[in-house]
Amino acid sequence: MTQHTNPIERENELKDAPTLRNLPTSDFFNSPDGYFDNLSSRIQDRIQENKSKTYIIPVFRPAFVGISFTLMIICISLLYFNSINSKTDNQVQLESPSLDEIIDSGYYLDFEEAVLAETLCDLPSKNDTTQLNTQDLELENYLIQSMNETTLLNEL
Amino acid sequence: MAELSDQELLAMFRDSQANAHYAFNLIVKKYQQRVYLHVRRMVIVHDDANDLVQNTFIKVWNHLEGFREDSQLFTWIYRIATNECLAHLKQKRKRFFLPIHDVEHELKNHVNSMIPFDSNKLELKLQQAILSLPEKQRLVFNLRYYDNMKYEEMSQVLGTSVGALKASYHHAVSKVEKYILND
Repeated sequence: MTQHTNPIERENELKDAPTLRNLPTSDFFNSPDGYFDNLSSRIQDRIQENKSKTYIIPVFRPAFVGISFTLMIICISLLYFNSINSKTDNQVQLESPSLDEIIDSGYYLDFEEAVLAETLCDLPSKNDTTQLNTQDLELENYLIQSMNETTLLNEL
Repeated sequence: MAELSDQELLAMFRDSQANAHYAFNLIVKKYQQRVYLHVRRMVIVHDDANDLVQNTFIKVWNHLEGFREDSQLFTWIYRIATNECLAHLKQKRKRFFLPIHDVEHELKNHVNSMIPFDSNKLELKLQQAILSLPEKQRLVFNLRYYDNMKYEEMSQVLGTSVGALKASYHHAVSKVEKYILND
């Protein structure tokens, strides 16, 4: 490194700063003893370390893996419940034909009103009745209206 | 063994892969003290300076093959070290959400704590005065006052015109002098 060739230049620059000019320019900061003895080997070690370091693709960061895993579980759960729901719907459809279908087919004529009433009375609780859908309620009302009250009371 | 010139070191580095490591070691040994002091004067704390010096030379190693010798080797190394310092100080401010004067305050406290018993009080004041300068001006002051660097070389390191550097140094000198006298 080239140095100041002209000390006069320095003097000239500091002519308005007498305190600064008279201060020694020795360095205030010191390095720890022996620091420079093995600095180059430490740097070489770090260079080798960087060379051999396998770079982790950000995709495999723990947070990313966690998020992906959670999303995967959510997707699988949604698919699973969706398939169960569609299966249940099919079963309900098979077991509970619409009222119009029942009336049209005349299927109910094969049953005695007493048997139908018994079926209704076998319902486990009032709460369950609330779960009946509109079609079931229509059927129930129809049976209640068309049934003989005496028969109904006997059956109960 | 006489110290090899930068051209000789670069020629050795480019000669063969085996020589590259040896030449690089010689470059490190040639400039390690000056780079360390340049960095240390900026970041004050030894551990930080140690990290930054190592990072500087690792970058030198990584890019030395592509060094086109548009500038001198030592000004190129100084430029890398300077950028490392500025990036470090910027990161430090961001990390602690501190405005610049708080980082300066922290550095001043560190300087106060490291004063040796036999040291001149004026030297401590000088360091405090230098720390009160803006970062870029501090760089200019250090390179000129301590490293005796020519303005043309400083211009290569800092990427600023010679005229601007002269003006900046002149202002820095008067600010430092005023600080020492007043405080």
